[in-house]
Amino acid sequence: MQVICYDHHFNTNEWFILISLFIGILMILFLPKRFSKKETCVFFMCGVFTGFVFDHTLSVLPVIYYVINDRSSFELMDFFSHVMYGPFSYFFFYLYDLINIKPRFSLVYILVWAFVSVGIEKICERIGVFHYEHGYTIYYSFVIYLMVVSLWVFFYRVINKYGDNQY
Amino acid sequence: MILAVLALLAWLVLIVFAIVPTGLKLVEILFLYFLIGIFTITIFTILDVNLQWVPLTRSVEGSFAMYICRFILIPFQILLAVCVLYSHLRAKWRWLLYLTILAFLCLEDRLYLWAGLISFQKWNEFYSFLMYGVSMVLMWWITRWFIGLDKGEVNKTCK
Repeated sequence: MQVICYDHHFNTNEWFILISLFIGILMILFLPKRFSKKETCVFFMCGVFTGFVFDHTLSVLPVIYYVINDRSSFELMDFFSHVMYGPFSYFFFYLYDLINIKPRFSLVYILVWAFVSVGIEKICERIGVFHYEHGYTIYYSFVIYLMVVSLWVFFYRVINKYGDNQY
Repeated sequence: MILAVLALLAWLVLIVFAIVPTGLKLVEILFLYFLIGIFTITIFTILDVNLQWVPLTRSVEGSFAMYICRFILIPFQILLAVCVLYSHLRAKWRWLLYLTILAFLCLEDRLYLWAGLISFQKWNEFYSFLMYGVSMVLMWWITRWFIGLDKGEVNKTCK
């Protein structure tokens, strides 16, 4: 299998991932706590898992829609770029809880976050974290973000209501 | 056909998971599912794309079948094994059930091989057995840590 290679150097995309991950984790640690430790872990992991699912579905064969970072093979920096979704999802749940969004305003909140996500992805694409292939564009990502963020809202409600129930 | 077979298998695993009392809270189950999912996806990708020890099929039906394996079949069976290991059953029964689930995972590997979903290049059933066995025990240890995470914590959140 042929490995697609865009770059060999440790440059902007790697620094972007490491710095944003570092800042994200610092913010999680120093923001006033709103969730229990378990909930914090779950909200963090929710983002990481979502990143893994979509990136390992859309960026692997049979059709590679985008290549993450320098090469199409899985690298350590790819792993960090997935972990980068963790602080992102945590802030999503944090703000949702902080602002205490009513269900009827959830759709507005989802739309705002979909735009924020597209904005961040655009930056990532410019600096070489994502390399689109086979006609994939950021507009497809927008639809995916709308779906994912909607699922997160549902997930938040489930955790809030049933999180402490034993099964 | 393999897509339907694996969907049926996944459904059976979900039925067992829904019936068996796990003894875990929803928040713990979700955390474990995320963790096991990430672990499974990473191992699959490294073995397939990087090392090419276990290349996956590139057919569309086969790929969808493998998504079912990666996201439902394997994670939920590992989750079941973790629940068994964490349960209050006698040690003998816990390890027996653990070995049964392990045997099922290895048998499913045979099924993937038979259907041409995967092929073993520098890999064999024994390595699979070891990988599943070690990952279950690892997840069990992480579960023990995670369950004890909030113990003794008074509600310190600023809600």
